[in-house]
Amino acid sequence: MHADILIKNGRCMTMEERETKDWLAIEKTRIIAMGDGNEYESLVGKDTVVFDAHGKTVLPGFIDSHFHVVQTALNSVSFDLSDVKTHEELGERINEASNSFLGGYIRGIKLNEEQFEEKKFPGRVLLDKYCNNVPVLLNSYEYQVSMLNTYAMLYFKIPFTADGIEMDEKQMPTGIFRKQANAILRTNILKNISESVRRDAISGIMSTLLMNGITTVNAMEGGFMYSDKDAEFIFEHGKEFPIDMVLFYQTMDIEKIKSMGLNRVGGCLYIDGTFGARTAALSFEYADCPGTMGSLRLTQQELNDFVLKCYKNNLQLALYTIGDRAIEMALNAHEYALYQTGITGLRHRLEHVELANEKQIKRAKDLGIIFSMQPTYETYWGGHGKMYEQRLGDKYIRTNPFKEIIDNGVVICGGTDSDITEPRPLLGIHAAVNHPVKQHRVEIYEALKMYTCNGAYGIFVENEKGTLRAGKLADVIILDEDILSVPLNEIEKIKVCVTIKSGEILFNNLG
Amino acid sequence: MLNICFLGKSKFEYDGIGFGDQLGNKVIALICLLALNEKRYLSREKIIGYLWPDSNAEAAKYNLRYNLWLIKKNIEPDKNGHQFLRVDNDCCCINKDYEFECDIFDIIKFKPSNNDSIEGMLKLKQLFRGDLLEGCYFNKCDELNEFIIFERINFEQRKVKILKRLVELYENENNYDSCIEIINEILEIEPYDEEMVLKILDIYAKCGKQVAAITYYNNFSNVLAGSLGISPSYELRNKYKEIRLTLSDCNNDDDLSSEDKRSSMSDKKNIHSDIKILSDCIKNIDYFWISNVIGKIITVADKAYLNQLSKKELLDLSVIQSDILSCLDLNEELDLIATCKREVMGVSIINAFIKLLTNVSHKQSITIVILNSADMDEVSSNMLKYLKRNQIEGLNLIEE
Repeated sequence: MHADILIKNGRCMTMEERETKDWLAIEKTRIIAMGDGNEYESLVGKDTVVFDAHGKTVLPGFIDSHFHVVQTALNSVSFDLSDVKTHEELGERINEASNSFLGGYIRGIKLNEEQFEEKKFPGRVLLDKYCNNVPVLLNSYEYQVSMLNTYAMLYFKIPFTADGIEMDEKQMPTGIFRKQANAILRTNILKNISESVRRDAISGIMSTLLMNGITTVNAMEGGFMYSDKDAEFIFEHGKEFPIDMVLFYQTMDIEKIKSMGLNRVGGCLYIDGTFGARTAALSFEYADCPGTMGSLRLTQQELNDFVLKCYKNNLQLALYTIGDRAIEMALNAHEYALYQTGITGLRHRLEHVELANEKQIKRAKDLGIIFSMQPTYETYWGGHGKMYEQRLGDKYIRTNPFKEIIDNGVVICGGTDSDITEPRPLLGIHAAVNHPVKQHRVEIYEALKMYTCNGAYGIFVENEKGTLRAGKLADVIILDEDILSVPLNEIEKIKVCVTIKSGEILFNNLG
Repeated sequence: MLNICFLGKSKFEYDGIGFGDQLGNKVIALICLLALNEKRYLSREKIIGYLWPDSNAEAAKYNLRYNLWLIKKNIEPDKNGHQFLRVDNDCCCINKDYEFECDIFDIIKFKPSNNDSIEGMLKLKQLFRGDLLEGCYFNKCDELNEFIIFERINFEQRKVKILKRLVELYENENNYDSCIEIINEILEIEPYDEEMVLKILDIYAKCGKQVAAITYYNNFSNVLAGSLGISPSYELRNKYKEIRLTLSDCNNDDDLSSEDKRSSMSDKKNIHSDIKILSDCIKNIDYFWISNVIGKIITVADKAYLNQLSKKELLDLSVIQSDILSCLDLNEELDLIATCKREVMGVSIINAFIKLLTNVSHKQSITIVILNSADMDEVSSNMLKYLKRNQIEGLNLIEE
């Protein structure tokens, strides 16, 4: 018997008991053998594709445990405006975009009031100055605010009677939409995006994912600030794409989940908000906004009832929690449901969990709750002088305490939260290893586990993927370095040079 | 006859035959401007300002002349020979003698009145085929675009007003199915209008469709959480709880939430729990909870219980719950009311309340669910302690 693919001279990290092998053979969709030395020779035939890894790291394909597929895809065809500094600069960028406009409307994303010298979002009068011949739709970073030029005001269906439409002194809309008006507007816009637009956009990001070694994503779709159509699209068409998409439908509609035959629910099922917007629920006041402690979106009773329903329906539940007060509430609800039902083993998850304290970590361990975390946040916002410190003051040193979580026995699965951060697991691994707060840093092996075997555990597929072993699905990547040998602060420079998904070579930069 | 529709994609028909394609967007906008203007009149200068603001004076004048010619060419005189437009050197207006129909006229005229009929409202509702001048945007015509946005806001508000009036009319006729249908149309425009959702729950409860009410609430709650990340309002949650409590009387409690279960467990201890009341509390408002309970008892319990109280006792209670007065003959008691209001003491109110509860629970079991008990005022709180201490038979108190 000959292998279809052989990877030799590699440091094949099985991600089981820190074991490594020199080579790995694949036939069809499965790994058929692994070994050391030259034992592979009998498996090489004339049609076998042989990769010489030259001592570089070979790993299971990365599992990205928190990924907004449709939003990432749609945003990939939008303009990232996060770096503009003034309204004028924004206007010029939009004007530039309108010159290469191909139809539909221009969509700009990732705006933040504070990024502008003017410290406010631009209204339609200003947008019109730079672009009045194409509809323009701009979104704030977390989609809580939409901005339209006048053309777009007449192009989209506008919820004129809803709360949240900003008005000028003449009682005319400024083009800035918040709260309910923003939610309705977004729903109107997103529901009119056709399947083919979604399909094309998702196809467009596949190469980026494969280039970064991602072979499985937990697709967090639907619900607040997204569109249920996204979730329905992934449910219907997720299998048409080359990487595996595991749907987390962000809804509280258990009946719908049951009728779709899904065995998990949630994702960004918001218990609180974000540090950026100062809506993450804290047990203390925000350092840069005294008197504000964030807010909870549900009462304890409501959450208890919902979590209990999930337990009773044997659904794995993923809840969005960022602040310690939200984490507390989620843990209370799990304890309540466990007490009521006695049901364990559903591998419930908390998403993000950026500010868990030691007591909460221990309670999570007792409850068997997984933390689905995004180490890259620390690269973006962690450390001295960055957003975490602005919001939390001295308490910024408490964020994302990976080492303490792992030491307490809680499983962490890693995600990029794309496109909040880049879809690059290696950047997340770098961030976990190089946490700005030294005591929270983890060793490389633990960081790799987050995106491989722990990711598989987080979705009940550890018998299929997440580790390298004969019989397992051939989701394999080769890096361009030996990750255990590079200086720790250079991990982020490592690139994926081969990605094999279910035995198919889908990305190959090795020649 | 000429028929014009500006709502949705513009439509121009003469005796049922469309000719809008021959007009062009600026002509349509010009007619719409005239139609929506008071007295259907505009100066040439103003029209040019709307439609050709960036053209030089000569070109703008020519454009206007050409468009007026297009209108004359395409819109025939009516059966009495009247021209559609009246044009002179200064201004243009729609000829008030010209017979034609236009969707926006009837809508603009609408003002809710007692003479409204369901048929009339339905006719108005059907006129809303979409947004005003749907699909139109006029590059560099800022004033015109502002005008369209302004009018779209007005028409959206009018539509909601008309639909709400229709809901009232259907409700008056007890036509609940149609009522719900129209409320759902309102919710399509304003999907988070909790007042309308409350109305739907009320209607379902009135019709004995508790299951439908619960399903509706759950769906709405999911929409709210999904779209806004918030929970339903306090009023809505209470209504929901109330409906679930009535349902839990006749069903097993497998699918009940914990709060309902607690009350349902209490029910089991008290099999003949004939009356169930949801009561509420407000901090620092003396007697609020007691008053709230009395108000609820009046609505659900047999009036005979009240008759077992003396007039003096009823008047004492009426000081904190005026609904009691509906059980008295006011003509006879007016003087007494005035007197008692001045003289009544707290202890009289408390004694009357205890007597009322004792009377009711003697004949029928009564369960009082107390919502937000942490907010209970001090007088009521002491009353509650007394009731718990003395355990009146048939009285079941459940604190949330």
